[in-house]
Amino acid sequence: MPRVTWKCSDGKTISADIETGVSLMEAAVNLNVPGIFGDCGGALSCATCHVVLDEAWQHIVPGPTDMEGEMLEVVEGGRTDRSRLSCQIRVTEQLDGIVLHVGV
Amino acid sequence: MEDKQNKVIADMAARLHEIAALPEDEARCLPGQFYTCPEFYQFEVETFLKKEWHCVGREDEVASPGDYFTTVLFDEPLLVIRGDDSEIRVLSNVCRHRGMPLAEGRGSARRLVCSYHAWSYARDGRLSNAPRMQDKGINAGNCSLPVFRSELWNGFIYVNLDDAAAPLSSRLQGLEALLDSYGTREMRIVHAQEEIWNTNWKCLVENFMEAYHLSVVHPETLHPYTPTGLSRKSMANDSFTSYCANYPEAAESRGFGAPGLSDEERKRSTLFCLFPTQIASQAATLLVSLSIQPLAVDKIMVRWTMSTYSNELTRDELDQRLALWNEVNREDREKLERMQRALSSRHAPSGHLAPRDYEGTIWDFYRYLSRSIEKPTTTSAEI
Repeated sequence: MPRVTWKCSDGKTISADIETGVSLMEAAVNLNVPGIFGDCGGALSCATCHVVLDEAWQHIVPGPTDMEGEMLEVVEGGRTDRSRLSCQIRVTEQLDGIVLHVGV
Repeated sequence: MEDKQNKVIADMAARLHEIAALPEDEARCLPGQFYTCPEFYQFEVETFLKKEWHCVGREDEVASPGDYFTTVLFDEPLLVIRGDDSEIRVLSNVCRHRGMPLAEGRGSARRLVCSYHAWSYARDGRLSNAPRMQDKGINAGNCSLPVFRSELWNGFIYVNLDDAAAPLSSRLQGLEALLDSYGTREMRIVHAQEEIWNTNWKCLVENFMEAYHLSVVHPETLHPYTPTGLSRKSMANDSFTSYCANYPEAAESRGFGAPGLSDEERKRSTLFCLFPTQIASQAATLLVSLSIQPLAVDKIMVRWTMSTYSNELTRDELDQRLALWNEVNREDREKLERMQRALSSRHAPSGHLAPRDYEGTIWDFYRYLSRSIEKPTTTSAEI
């Protein structure tokens, strides 16, 4: 299973092997990653699953759709050019090793 | 129309004061209309019930941060939750956006999320996120969940809907003395449930607090342990009343309980009412508490909990006690629901109360009611 790593703003790092097909938001909520809430359940309605892709992964993960882009404008802490809503990214084999920054 | 209603209520208030003023050995029941008149019920709710402290449950029902349960008190949806700071709060269970209840039943939550538009709140009620509302000036300062007054005492959680109410703790010394040796605070919850009974709230208070019916209504369940004849009136003051349901000499031990208990305390159940709506039975190894939440003149929600002392009772024994209490409640409920239907009769009596040890607690309750409802200053002829 692909390995995913969340690096939190408080210095904490959480890594886990995640089944393919699961969204990065669901995975983070199950692991109690601080700062990832997924309040709306993945319906692009709350912007509470914001992550910033590690630089190395910026060009591997496809960019956000227009609808996601609209929600990204309102994330807490502000949007960066590597910002994504993690409910919109499903785990695939290509993402093995991905690093996400939370609460940046 | 309103004048006529006011006159009915003023007449009833005057009657209540007459009855409460009777000497103890001449005490009488309240007439049937006190339990069936919708206007009087509404009057009770507005004049004192909504301003009183009500028990909603036990602290260890929400043992860890995020643990919560919901309940309703006088149409006010409540969310009892333990915060990240370990404090128990009673929050309004109504989203600040469109009024949707935030949670149902019981559970544990990282934060409280409205299922309607995904507004979310932290465990202390502070607004965390209101999606797409950034330009509307919505923030934690103006859209956090209101917090109701609450107090903890002996492991119980109390709430008051009235922000101006006097604190509860200052009036509990008498009851504290009664329960002193039992370790009530340390008792551990084993069961909680809610049920609707079709009876007036006062009928259940009176029923629970009098021993006169025990041997008649509960011949197989309670009579072997707490027969009417051995029951004795106990302490009372402005805030509570109580009686001791003593076990017969030959009855099997009901457990040891806290180390500081006397032999007498181990051989009885102490039943108390913290006015107006908490009724409870404290025994050495078992604590059962019923919170009465009035819904209408003839309808209540009973939220009751069973707690136990330490690990003395086995799971089987606890299951047996729970089954016994369910059966006792069923027996009482059957009587009260039948009586409720007859209390509207114009012949519903203001009958004599039984002697002090058996129904003296009801006299105490009436005197509490008369302190809570002002004596009308005008006579009915003048209205």
